[in-house]
Amino acid sequence: MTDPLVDRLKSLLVDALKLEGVTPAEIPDDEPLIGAGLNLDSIDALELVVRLEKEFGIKISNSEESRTALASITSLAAFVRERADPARLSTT
Amino acid sequence: MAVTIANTSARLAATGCLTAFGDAAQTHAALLAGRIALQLSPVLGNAGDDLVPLALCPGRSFDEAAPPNWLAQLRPLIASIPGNNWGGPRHPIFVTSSNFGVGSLYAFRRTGDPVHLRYGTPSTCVAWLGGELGWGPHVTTVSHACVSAHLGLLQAARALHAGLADEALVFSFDFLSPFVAGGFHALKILNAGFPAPYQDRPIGSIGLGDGAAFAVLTRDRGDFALLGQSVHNEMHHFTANQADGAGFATCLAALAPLAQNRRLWLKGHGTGTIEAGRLEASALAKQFPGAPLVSWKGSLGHTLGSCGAVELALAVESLRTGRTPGTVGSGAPGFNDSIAFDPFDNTRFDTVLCASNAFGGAHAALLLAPAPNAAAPSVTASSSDPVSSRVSASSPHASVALAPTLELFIESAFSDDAGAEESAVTRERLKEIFPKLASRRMTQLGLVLGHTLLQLSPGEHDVLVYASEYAETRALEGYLDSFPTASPTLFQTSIHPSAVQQALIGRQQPVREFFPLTGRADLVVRALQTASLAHAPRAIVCGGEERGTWLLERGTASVRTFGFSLALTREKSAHATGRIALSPAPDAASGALSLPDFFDAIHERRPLDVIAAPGVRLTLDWS
Repeated sequence: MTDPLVDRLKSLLVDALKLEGVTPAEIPDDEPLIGAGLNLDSIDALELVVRLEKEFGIKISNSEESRTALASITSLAAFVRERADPARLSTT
Repeated sequence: MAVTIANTSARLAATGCLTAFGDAAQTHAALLAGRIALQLSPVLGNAGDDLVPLALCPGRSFDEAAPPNWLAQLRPLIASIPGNNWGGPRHPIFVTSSNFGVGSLYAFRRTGDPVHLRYGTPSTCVAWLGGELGWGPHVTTVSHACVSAHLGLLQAARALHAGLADEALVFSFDFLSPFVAGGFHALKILNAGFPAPYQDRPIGSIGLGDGAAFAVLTRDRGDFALLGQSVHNEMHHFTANQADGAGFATCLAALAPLAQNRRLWLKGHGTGTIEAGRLEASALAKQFPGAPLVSWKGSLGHTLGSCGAVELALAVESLRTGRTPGTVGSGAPGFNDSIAFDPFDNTRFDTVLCASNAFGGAHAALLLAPAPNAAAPSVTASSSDPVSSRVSASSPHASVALAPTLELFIESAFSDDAGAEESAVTRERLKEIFPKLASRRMTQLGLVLGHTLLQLSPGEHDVLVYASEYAETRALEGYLDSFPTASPTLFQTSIHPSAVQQALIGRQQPVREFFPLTGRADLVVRALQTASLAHAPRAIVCGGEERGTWLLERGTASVRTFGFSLALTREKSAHATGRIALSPAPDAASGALSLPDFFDAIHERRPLDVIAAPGVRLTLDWS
């Protein structure tokens, strides 16, 4: 059974970063989001941070913290669960 | 990479600046005293916002008024500029800025009051400012983020060398607004963790500051001289430099021959971002070992497009007084031993290197020194420089009555008339031309312009001139719509000259010199003049606009999307397909050649013979 939050994050990734030709299902859970694989860069990371703020009410104040959160989809899901506004998280 | 720096020396007849501390003397004194102008302030000016370090001129409201509230701040600075007739045919002005009146666009989006739109675009803002200050029409407007002022200084020096001017004024202004603070905050490089860190801190923060400055350049007057200037554009990434610091090194190496046997101190860019700061400090220490390095942005904030001119005025003040402020607002230890934290006596040195860097891996540097008592810098450049040679043969020093004819030959021309084409259609049509990572973020203007530009295979020896009045309209609209949670991507993309950078960064293609210009009626002439004064085998002049949406409804955007690129040489070759000449015309002869009209002539291969700007006749012939 898939994790609804993981699915939601993958969809958010495709939408926020305009990943043409990539479906949410194709994004692996445990590979690095930035650099390898999807070939995302630091500006993608920042855009994702902004979308996480809007979507989940999470504040990430600097790029160093975002690097930890965006290590992979799995780590991002854990980060969101820990920091998200519960009301926004429960919609998943 | 071979880098030439011909035609970049000049005398400085006067300089001045405005910062949050006041004028140049007040700012210099405050820096010597180690004072910090940056204060934690709400990022969008509202209670409850994240706090970020900003240095605003006292008494100025952060959000924009109509007319812009910074005009009152500017007037004393402008009153201190010697001479008059600025903007006249022999006294051109080079206006440089990153912000112009963009805070007014934010004010319009927030309030809906259309009065703000009168100041919102670079061309309307500069036209309004010129009207307020009584400037004539000979104004070139340059916008390349944080190296803007350096480009203005370079163009001014070249105009003097070419005999196109008796004196030139470089005027730079950047005043903060929620637009720009929100954007840098979205990039996560503004936070409450200032002062700027050095190696012992894991998190960086820059500060932003209000700033304005001027420099009057002449051939033969003034106590100080610009010995030479260099620029380099690595086009590696929008917000990152090549990891080995090669971009910094290339720019600095160009000045090394002029710096030989001189005793230097260094004014670095020093924004406080950890990686760029480390690379810059390392490159400077390697090229100029033992020279003390200072940075003042940890106190004044980053004055963005004006920083090069503001810090030039402060370097002049340091030379004038014999005292150089140390690096203020940053705690030791530094990235390396060259960083000076305390003020020092600079009389044991004879030259200052001033450096600035910008988004897209743009690097600029200049050498400043007391002017020699000997003869003034020669107007005549090398014999391989046909423009200067021709001018020197006529009348180099006197108030030349007429500018020379500038002649350029078209080697290749490409154009793309997207008209009212939907962005999505343009994307499908052109996206395969670009790498996938680049194309998904490219704007319609970036796609169309890049389509024409890449057909010329820009190279590292090329000089590139880019002309656009409105530039990244859609990204600007999207960025403004993204508030209060500002989009970092759209902020980055909205900054002039993003369209060209999108194409070249996508290919990781460096170019030697890159002059992004903006303006309206005389933009075509200014772009061609800039290309003709550059010292390179080939210059590329490109331009374009993007059809707007809600800004178009307000008459503040282009009605059509188009792009063109011309490969130009100063010597006629067998491959030449056309010729462009700019020749003198009576200043009273009215006329203008808009960018869309010039584009149409290029696209349809039509000849032109028009008064394209005050005092300038443009002829375009096709073979």
